[in-house]
Amino acid sequence: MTSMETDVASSSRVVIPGESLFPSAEDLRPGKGTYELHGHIYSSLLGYVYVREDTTDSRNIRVIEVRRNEERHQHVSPHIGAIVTAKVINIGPRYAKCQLLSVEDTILGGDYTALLRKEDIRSTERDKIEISECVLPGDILLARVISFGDTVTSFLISTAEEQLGVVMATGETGEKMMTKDWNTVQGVETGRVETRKIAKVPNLNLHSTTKAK
Amino acid sequence: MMSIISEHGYRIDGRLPHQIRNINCRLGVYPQAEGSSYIEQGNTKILCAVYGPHEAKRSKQLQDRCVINCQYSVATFSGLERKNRPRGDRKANEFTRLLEKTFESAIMINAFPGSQIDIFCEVVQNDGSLLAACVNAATLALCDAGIPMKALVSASACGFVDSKCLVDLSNREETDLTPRMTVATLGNTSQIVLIELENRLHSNHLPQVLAQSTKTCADVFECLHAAVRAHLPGSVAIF
Amino acid sequence: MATLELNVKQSGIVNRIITKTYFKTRAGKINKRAAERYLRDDLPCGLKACDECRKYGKERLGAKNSDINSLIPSNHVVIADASVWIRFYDIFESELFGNVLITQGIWEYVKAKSISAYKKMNGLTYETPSDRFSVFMTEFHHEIYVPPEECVSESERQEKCLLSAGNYLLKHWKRTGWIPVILCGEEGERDRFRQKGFEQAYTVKEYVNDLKDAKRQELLDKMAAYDSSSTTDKLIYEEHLSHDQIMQGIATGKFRRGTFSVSRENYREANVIVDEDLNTWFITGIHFNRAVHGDIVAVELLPRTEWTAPEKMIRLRDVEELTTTADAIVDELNEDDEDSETATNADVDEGEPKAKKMKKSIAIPTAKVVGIIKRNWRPYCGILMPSALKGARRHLFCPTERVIPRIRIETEQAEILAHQRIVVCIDRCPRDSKYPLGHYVKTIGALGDRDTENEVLLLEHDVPHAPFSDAVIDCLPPEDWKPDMSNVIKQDQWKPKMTGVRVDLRELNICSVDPLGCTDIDDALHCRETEDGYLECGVHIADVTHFVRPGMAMDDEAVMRSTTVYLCDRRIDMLPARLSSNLCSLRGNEERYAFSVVWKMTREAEIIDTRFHKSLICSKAALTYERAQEIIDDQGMIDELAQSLRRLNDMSKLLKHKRTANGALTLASSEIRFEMDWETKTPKGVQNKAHIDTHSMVEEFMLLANISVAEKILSEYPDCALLRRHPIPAPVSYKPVIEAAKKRGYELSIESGKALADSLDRATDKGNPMVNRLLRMLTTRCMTQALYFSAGTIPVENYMHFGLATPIYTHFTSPIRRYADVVVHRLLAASIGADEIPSGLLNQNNVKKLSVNMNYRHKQAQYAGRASVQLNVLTFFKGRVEKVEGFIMGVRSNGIQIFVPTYGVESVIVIKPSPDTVIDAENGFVKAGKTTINELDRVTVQIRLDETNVQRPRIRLDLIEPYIEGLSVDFDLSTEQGIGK
Repeated sequence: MTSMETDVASSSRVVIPGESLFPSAEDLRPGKGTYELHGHIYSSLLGYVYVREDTTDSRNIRVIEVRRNEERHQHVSPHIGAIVTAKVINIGPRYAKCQLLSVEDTILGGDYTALLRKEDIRSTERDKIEISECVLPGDILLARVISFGDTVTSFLISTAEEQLGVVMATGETGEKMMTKDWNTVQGVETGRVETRKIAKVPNLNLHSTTKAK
Repeated sequence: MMSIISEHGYRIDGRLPHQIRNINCRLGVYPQAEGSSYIEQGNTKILCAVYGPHEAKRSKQLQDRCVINCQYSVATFSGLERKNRPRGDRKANEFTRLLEKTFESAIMINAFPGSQIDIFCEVVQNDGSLLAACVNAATLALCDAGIPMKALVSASACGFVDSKCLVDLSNREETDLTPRMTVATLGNTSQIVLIELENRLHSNHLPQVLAQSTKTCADVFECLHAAVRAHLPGSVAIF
Repeated sequence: MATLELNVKQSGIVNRIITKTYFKTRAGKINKRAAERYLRDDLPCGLKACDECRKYGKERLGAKNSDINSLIPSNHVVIADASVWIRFYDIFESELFGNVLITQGIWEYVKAKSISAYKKMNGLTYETPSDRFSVFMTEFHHEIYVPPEECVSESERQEKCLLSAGNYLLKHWKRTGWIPVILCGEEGERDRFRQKGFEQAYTVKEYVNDLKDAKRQELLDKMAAYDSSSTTDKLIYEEHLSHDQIMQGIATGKFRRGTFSVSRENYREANVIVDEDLNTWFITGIHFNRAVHGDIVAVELLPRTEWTAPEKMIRLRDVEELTTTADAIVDELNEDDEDSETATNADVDEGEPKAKKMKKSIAIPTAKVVGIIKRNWRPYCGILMPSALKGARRHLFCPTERVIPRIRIETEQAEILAHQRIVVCIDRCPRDSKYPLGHYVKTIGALGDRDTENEVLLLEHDVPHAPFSDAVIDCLPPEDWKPDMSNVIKQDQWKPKMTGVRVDLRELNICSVDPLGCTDIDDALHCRETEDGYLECGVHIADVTHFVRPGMAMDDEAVMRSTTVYLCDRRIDMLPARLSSNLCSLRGNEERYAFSVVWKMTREAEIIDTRFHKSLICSKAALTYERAQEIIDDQGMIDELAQSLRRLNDMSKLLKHKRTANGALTLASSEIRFEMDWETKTPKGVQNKAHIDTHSMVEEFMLLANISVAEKILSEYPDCALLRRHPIPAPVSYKPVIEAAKKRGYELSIESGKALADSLDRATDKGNPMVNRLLRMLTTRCMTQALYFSAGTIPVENYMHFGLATPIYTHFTSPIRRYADVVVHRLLAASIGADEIPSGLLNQNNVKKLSVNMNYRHKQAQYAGRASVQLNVLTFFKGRVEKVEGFIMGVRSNGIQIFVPTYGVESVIVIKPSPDTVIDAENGFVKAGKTTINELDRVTVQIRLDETNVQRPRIRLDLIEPYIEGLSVDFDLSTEQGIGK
């Protein structure tokens, strides 16, 4: 989640959807709230223009974004391949039902539910998984959307990667638990230890974690 | 009996045939919704609220894009006589579909697969050019909601009387026989996203009517543009 | 007045207000409507001298008039109040009103209250090129508008608006030196204006009185109205019911509506056709209740016991008046002044409230007029019958049109007007007056003067005959117009569906055949053999629509005229002469544009292929009928042209045979034409109407062309094509001719057109060849009128033309003299892609309106033509007496109707009842002593002019053979029905 301080705000130029911002160039990329068409970058929202510096592939490019204000969340919906933050609502023998909280760094507006299937929790030893050893209701996880699901089931998410999994847990007794090592969490107050599938997020700063809605 | 264009070339309310009525609009009138707007075109008053995008019902969900769901409703007190059925009649259903189709072309629907955006339009006072006013109201509400669009959609209604194009018809001018066309364009361009025609118009007159409609849509676009820009600073926190 | 913010900046609009009006719905509830109104600041005042408003370019008023009126010393513009317009709209025609401003408020008020005043106002402002009138849009003006909330009533608001406009203009024109002057109808209004500070307010009478020009007397006369209420309380007629009562009555079926139609034979009888032509109700005497011929009335059926029947008498008003004494007339006219109780002959005759009780078997449904739905008054021409009293102001006016009643007018100029033809308008028909009250409008000219009489004829038949305006002349192409060769292609290059091209037909042997002296040649023909053994026949019609384009002033004028009117000594053209006699006319040896219909047919006249295209032709000869017949008959002439004519002749005979086999009717007309001496413009004698082959030749091909074109345009435009139909007459209309034939022993069948044609062919009397012709004439009178109509407005089976026995027909071949043909040319050109179609023709309603106008003008032109012939009959018989053959056409209870075929004159000889004479109207014979005269018998009569009444000369017939004692002669009575082709 990028913080606002690293942005370079351009002059407070108000734009409306369909307004032409810049002609396309090698070092310009259309970001949130913009789209590119026929050689121009246009705004798709009513808001202010922001230009953000970004380095990808060792090139300096500028990302053009249009934003309203931060009290209003941007509109996104979960798409395939996106990293989402989910909260487990209940678990069953074969899957865990979760509620999606945010997509990448944008908080979701509506209620989106997703399913975490047993075999998608871990990439190794997939048939021998016990759900209650990996996730429990109340846990916050990082997962990836793998499919929209069919008419009956909703989104399918998966934590079968190293960086994906539980980020913050709620214990069986309802207490907050923090990650201890690669597959255990420890209660903050009681010291109880439980197993989870933990997300190996590098440089995890315990103080600046995702805030629950 | 009053004729629609008098012998002196003026309309019943004093406008010339190519002049539109006064437009008043406001965004964000209904805080409960994602986005809302209120527009007055002359005496036609429309209230519009936008909800979403939120998860669509499984049966209606589309995998690659979002679903636009409109509801067009005419208040029972909006006309000269009390109307008993606010929605669900043929006209309302037709307008609903038209609105949906229009905004499917304008909103960036591919950004929200599996979701649904609701647009609810309520006609509070009916003085003609309803479809055009609803499109304008919906555009403003969508802007207010922050839903990404390709451009603002502006619409206008144009009738054809005595070989002259009459723009922005009021209720008295919308008689049973005058052909009238509602046209909506995308932004300032002449890309048309909505055409609706009532009664019969000869194909020889079509270019003239289309040209005038497109020009008027451009005029309406200027008004919407100004209103939308005026709205923004008031709702944003200072950085 | 709540002003609302105006966000949208548009040129001219400065303010927006919302007004609430209340109106009643159909259900009787009261609803409120909030309407917005945009007030503007870009409305021009219309004065040429005003600098500010010049940028709008609409200024009109500017004729300096500071010295025309002694009341007003400076240049002024007159603003007349609505009541002045409604009551005195005629006076504004006068040039004395050089600058008249009409405010929008007054315009709309007059439009709502009085259609005739509005028509006049609109005509003067927008339809004539004069710039004496200008409209000022006060209701949209941001400084003048007065909202209705501020006033108690509508009339108060009108006054306030006028005051507001006057004050504004006073300020606005201060620099120019012009002032506005308000004219009111009443003194009360004028005083109110003056009290509120507007000094220059006058009543219209004051203003006109103080005009310095002598013509003001005419204006004063026009304004003379019956302000004073009648002194007598004697109410003669029943009150008319209110509009609501009438509508309610019609809805419940108690009353019916129909057009009031006075009988031409008996001025005290009239008919109203109710239930959309299914039933006719008879109205007599006092039940007329002030209805005038042509009005749309509401009638109520009388109880059966009061039913009566037509008197079968000829009753004509002028005759009865001639037989009453002069004293009687004086007394009658003075009844208002003197409360005279003297019963006069005229009174007794006309005051008879109840007709004789008729036997039940003959009584027909009789009704009375209970209310007038729509008045159809127009200005009437006629003569003044001055009152016998010296210095009297009230006189009776006698209209030329016999079915209109006398009108009482007030004028001081009775001596001057006594020998003039004048025009009078009806104002109202009060309950206590025997005659309608009206006012004098203008003088046409001296009585008996040929030009005046022609003018009266044209006015009475509503024939537009003013010279073509400058705007129309400007539309004409130059005299030296030459065809443009750029889009002309050769005949073999042409393919169907090619657009914008003309086919070069100049080398074809095309020729035209027309009456002697014809200058407007519309049509030309040719016929040649093709390589594959067929015949190619072509009809080429003048391409009028190339010159007359929609939207031109010339086109608008042609729409109004709709047809060329042929009088004996004059022709009123639909199009200016440069087109009708020169550039459109297919003159011999001149290159002209044409619209061609070309058929490929077998030698048996079966059509294989039809082509329509525009072309360029060069007619080889402009022949007369007689010359063409000579060429055909002369075996020595064998050139291509003669052969072409012979082929055309043979083909036309085959075509005619086919048509007759289908049941086409050949009828006879009782009309005659005069040969005129063009120097004195007087008639020399009756034209000989010998029918020769070439007449049929041209006729058959014209019919074929019309039918082919009709089929083509119907296929392209099935819901708006202009066609012509002839409805089958109802069986009951044939009664007169069937009875007449039966009395002679002939049986006429009306089962079908063919049956009728065949039975007419059989009804001949070897001893008297005229009988067949008379029967055909009687049949003509039973026919319905042929009408133009728009396809798609009636069921397809009704498209047929009964007289020609074809399922579809239109007019295509005479665009120079008929507007219907111009319309059909445009439709045909659009259907073959040669031209764009004007949008007005695609609207069915428009085409319907056009048809209604064209049918009306066609009928009026026919009547005018006949009236001209009758006029010339009178001129012809000045100082001449002749003995001619006549035939009895009908027997009435007081006389016999005699028709003189040589002169087309039909008249009545009144038979005085005597012990010897037996008149049997039922069985159609008169027995006087030993002689019996039957219907359709031949008699000999003496025909001469009777000038005992200088103002109204008449044709007089005296019976010579068979001799019957004591017959006297009488009046001119030509009927006015006929079949149009």
